[in-house]
Amino acid sequence: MSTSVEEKSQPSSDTPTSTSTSARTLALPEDASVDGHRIDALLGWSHRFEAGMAALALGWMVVAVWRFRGSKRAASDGGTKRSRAWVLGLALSTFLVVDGALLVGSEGYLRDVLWNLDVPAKDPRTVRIEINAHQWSWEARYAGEDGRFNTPDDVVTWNDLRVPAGVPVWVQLVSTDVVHGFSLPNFRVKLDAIPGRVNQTWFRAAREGAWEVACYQHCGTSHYRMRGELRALSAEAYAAWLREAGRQAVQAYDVDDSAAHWGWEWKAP
Amino acid sequence: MSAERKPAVDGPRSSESETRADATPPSRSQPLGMTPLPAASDARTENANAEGTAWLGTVLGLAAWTMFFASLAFAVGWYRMREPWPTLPVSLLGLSLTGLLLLVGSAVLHLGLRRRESPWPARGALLLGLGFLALQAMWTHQAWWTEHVRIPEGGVSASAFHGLTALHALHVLVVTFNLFLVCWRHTRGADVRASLRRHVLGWHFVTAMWVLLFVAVYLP
Amino acid sequence: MSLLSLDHKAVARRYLWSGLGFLLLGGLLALAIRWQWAWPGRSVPGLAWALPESHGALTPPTYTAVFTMHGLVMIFFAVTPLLFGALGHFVLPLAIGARGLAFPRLSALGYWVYALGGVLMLASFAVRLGPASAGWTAYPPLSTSAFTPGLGQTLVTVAVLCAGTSAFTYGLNFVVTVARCRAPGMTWGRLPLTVWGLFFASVLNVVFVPVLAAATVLLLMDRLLGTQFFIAGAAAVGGGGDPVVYQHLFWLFGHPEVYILILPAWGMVGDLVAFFSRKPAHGYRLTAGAMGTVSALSGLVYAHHLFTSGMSPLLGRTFMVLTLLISLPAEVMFLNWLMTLWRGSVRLTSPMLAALATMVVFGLGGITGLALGAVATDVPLHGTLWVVGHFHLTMGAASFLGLFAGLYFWFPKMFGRALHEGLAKVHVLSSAVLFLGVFGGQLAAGYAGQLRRLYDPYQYTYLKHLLPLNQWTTVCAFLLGAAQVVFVVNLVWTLRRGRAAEANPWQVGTLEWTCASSPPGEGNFTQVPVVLRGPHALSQPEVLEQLGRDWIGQAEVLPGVAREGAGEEALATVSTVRSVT
Repeated sequence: MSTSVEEKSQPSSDTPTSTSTSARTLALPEDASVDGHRIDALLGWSHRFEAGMAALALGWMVVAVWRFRGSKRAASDGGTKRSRAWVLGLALSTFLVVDGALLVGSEGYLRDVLWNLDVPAKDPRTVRIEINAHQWSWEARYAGEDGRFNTPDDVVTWNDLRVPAGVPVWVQLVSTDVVHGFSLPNFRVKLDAIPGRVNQTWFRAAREGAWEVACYQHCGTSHYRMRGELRALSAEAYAAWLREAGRQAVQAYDVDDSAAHWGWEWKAP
Repeated sequence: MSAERKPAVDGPRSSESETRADATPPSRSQPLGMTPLPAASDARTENANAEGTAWLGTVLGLAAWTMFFASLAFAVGWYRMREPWPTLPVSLLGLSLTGLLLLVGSAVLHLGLRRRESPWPARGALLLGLGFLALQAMWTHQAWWTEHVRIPEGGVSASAFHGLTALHALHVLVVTFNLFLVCWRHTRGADVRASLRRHVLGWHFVTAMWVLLFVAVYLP
Repeated sequence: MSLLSLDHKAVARRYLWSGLGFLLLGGLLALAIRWQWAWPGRSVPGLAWALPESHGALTPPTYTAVFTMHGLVMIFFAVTPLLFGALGHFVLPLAIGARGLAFPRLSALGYWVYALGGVLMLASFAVRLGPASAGWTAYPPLSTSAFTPGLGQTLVTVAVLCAGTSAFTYGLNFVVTVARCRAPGMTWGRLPLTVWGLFFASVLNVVFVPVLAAATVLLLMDRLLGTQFFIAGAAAVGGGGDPVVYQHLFWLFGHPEVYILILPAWGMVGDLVAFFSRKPAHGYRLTAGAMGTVSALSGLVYAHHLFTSGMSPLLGRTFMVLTLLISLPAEVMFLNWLMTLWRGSVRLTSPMLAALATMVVFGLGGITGLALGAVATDVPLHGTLWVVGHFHLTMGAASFLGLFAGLYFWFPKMFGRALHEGLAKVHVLSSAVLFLGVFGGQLAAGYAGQLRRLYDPYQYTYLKHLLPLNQWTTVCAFLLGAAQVVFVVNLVWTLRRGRAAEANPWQVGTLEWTCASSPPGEGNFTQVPVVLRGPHALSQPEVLEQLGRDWIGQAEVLPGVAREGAGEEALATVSTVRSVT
């Protein structure tokens, strides 16, 4: 029922779309980020453990029911010291292995990627984007050539993010009205856009292409239409686009349009 | 209470539906495993028991309801950490004197419980409670009309001042009303000592919550 | 009349009928959601009378109201009232040998507050702009009147407050009842696990419902009085508050709430598995202790719901560790259940099948939650149907099946009539399988990235290929709904002409089956029993030898075995109990 919308918003260029590669049902969305594979690998491992646990528990249950169904005699004790120790030991070792793996793996990712804003802060190529979430669209602001926000050459787009591939993209996020959720399913990025505060995150696109921006927090009637597009371009294409868009922005700049000047001084991490 | 039991057998039984003939009607069936020992009981211990149960219920209920005020204080604490908290234009001394009424009431009631029979501590506390409510109303009135601490213009601090004061006053109102009922029953000759003991707990509770309110909202 | 009766069994029955009614309503709302995901925008069969303008098709505003009300109805008006209001009210006093609840008037009042809330919920469907639509979590600013105007949202918020009040009253009532009204000899170590589960859940109710009340009252003030607690930074509304405060308060209640919904079911599974393996529960103390540990931890893990809210790394790490920690006691408990089966004599009765099914769905639900407890793996899954599938398996399917395990088990005690065992088994098994189909499908869709609460998920290119999967899931959901007809038929038929229940159909020793009639009369017991042993004294050799059966009542004196000795011991307990009071 939404084909016309889809077709209009498809990138016109020859960039690949996500549908072509990630049409498998039982898989995470295609990973288009540099670092997302670490989450995927961790999830994969955790699923293996979990499948093992499920098989063990279910198998145990089935065997127990099968073997002891209606048996003549039942044990009269509520477990021996040894059997209880076994339960504790088994629980503890499962916990240490499964939860431990999750914890260690997760911690590594947090330390190196998710909460390590040093990477975008120190990289001179980093692209900074301010995003303002509305009911029901994503408004994005680029600093333009002067590198400062809220100046006439700021490039402002709607539901249309453009980033260079392979370069850290540092996003600071606010909301104008209600709580929204900024997610890039193909980049393993999720962050709440909450009125009254600036949240930040960062990611790197692994390659050129077009992907989707989705809202994951219920934000009202048209929550489902809060869809944006993210295009990863080559460094040159990105620079060219930004230059041209900035030039147009300067021409269209209107000092009195205070609603358009929502940008803020970039916040230190 | 007989209506409670709607056992299968009492109604006109449709004979065809029965698979097993009922030797004993379900409502009367004496279960197999029952050979209970005689349990002694006498009215006085039972009564004391019921009183103890009610007291425990009150203590636990009030203790748990502390979480309500703790959550409100958590919220206000959060706002205060975010941004500087404006000083209230209402006299802090006046507010603390108002709270003093509750504290005095607590003391009066506590001492009054030791002197068994006199109805005056409870009646005195009743007055103190009404006085507290009147003064709190006066402060909020003054804040609103004279000092222009208003909702929504005053932002979150005005919301906290008016909102939390009102929520607390609502609790004081309930406690005072309960106390009034106790006094009233007392004048009609009922033995109210046990119930007074419980309602005094309520008073101590609102007093403690007032301290929390004072620290969380009123202090600059 | 029974509507005014203060008897705990009458109150339980009131909760049972109201709860089942709301369960039906919540289930129908769920089917409407599922329909929308399988055939977006197409007319829902049978809904044309309610939505004449769209010929029965859900529109985006109706859809948001439907999923919001589904969550609220199920949590606050169906599952909690059925587990606590119906089963808890009925079983708890009987199982501990009490003549009633500690505060009978409070329990009756609690029901009427709940009923008032229920009426407000139903009324909200009739007001202009419809019922609540800001999601069951009602995050502000969306849930403030600036973004969700209309009376419906307000009515529903008040209704939730009512349900919370009722939960607080029965929570308090249960805690005090267990603490004060146990029969002589019913030590803490002899409580059935069901009572332990209800007890811990009641403690959680009492402690955390006030937090919900605080959040809800602040929200109501924002809606009605114009306060600014949760309104922030928004150009449209101004304000200096902070919506995140609400999220913290809400989840500080909300996460314990999911344990509130599952703890009674855990307790029942623990008991039923022992009963129908005909042997004592393995590691009774460990199981009870594990439930207690989970309850204690449950208030300390809540912020994993906020991993993506931009919390400080310190908080994020703390809550990640605490969240993962809670899986340890849950594993201990689960293994104890499995160990109870081992070397038992397993009888697959309908309550046992339901208990085993509860174990399966709860096990899968718990396992699928692990990845949500670690920040990194939470990121791709947060806000997707994976989360929905996970928590529906635990607090939806597991609570539901646990509820039916309890209902099938205690139905003869409640009504004096025996349900049809075959129909009950069909109902339990088909429900369990279809639950796995529905929520398994949701897990798969969520893993592939499908976000929750989307009116039309296929707006997104990367979700288009999930349409067939969602259609299959929806088919399972409708079959699941149809399977409930089996229960209704069984219920109606049994109540009208079912056979009279035996005195102790399951052959277990707990007080309600061995010391009270079916249904129990006023005051429950002709004489308050003096308890001599734990709840799972099954297959004890000396009992087998002397009584020729594998069970013995908790208050039953074993003939011959030093009647005096046992009696004296019990009487000694009585006297200590009394001297303490």
